Amino acid sequence: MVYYFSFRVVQSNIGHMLNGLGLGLFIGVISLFFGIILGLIVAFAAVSSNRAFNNIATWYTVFFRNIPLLLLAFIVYFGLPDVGIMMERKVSFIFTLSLYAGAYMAEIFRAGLQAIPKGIIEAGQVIGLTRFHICWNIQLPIMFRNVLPSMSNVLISLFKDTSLAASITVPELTYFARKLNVETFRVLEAWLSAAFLYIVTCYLMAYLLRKLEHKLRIE
Amino acid sequence: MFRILYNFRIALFFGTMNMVTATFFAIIIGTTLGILFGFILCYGNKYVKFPFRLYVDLVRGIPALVLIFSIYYILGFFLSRVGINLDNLKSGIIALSAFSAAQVAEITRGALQSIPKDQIEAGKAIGLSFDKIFIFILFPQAIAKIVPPWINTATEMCKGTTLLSLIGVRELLLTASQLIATSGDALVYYMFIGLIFFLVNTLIQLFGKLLEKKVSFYQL
Repeated sequence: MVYYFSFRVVQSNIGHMLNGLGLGLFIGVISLFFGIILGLIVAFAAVSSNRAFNNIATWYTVFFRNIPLLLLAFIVYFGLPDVGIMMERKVSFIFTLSLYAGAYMAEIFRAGLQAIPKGIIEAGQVIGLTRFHICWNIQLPIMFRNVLPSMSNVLISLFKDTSLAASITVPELTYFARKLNVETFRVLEAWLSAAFLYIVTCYLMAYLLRKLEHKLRIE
Repeated sequence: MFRILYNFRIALFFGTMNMVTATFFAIIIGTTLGILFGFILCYGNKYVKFPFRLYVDLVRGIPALVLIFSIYYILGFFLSRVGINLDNLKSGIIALSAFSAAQVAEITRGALQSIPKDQIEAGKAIGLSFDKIFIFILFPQAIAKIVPPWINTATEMCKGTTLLSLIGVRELLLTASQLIATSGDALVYYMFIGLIFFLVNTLIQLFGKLLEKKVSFYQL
């Protein structure tokens, strides 16, 4: 059984594929951004002393962590128009991924907030800081530094999850790989090059994020 | 609303069965292979380790969807040359198992490496052979550490079965999409299968908690 490689089809489509990769990165990063905001709100709700807030936060995380992402994307893209909410493809996927990321970030932030020693917060109260200042100047900086490794994991997995956007025909890398496969039947070339691009990007991201962690570490 | 769901109960039932089958096999095969790979990654020598390290890193570096497509198209392509038709459910199960094997391998390696080295030395000192040390000392402690993250992987697999709909496995999501194509009501169907996923995942987590309680006995 012989297979003759011919990477010419990949070569002529590499521009599309790199654009797709860039779009995936963009969707991943922007979803992480919204996910962080959402996650912060939910995490503060989860650690607050208000029972109603706690319950809402728990249900939010449990719901989004137990529903498949692809199903969520379909609910948002195909289901929500039934109740009159229509979104453009990319926007709808970013919306989905942000909600999904929010649940994961909330869990991470909650753990991070609970890991801050009580004494530090009490010290802040003693010197007369307001609640806002304690949160903004004490809790958040400490928490962010501690949760950075988990956050970089989430960013990488979000980037990988952007491949699901191909299912609602957002033109990202997986979409082009599949298109190449179907149109030219260069099976191996299409998938190997897509996998290669994903792996290289993931490794590069992991490397850069680790550098960042080293830079921000407290000695 | 319940009427439409009731009318298509059989299709939905078969969709659920396909989903459960894929999840079950992916978890079983993935866990077995993963624990084996993890063992090799922890105790193998440099040359034995290398291919497994490569496998785990590669599989963890590409998205699950790309892995599923790659295996479906590439394996299907080569098997069709020798005249074998690859059924899409099987190829999906292979892909999900390969994916979970890599995850479990990494979990197992971490768990085994976190056990202090002096326990192995202590075992050697009282004259146990390596297999005895592994079976009676290392593995019970490792399993207590493997189970909590393993529950996550198991629910990932259950959620991952939705990706198989994209290669044409008629599991819940594809069933729902096909029913929607004939009768509309997208939100109702999708919410309903969301509920099924929620229930299955909750069951997996309950089972995991029971298992965790059982094996936590071994944790020092």
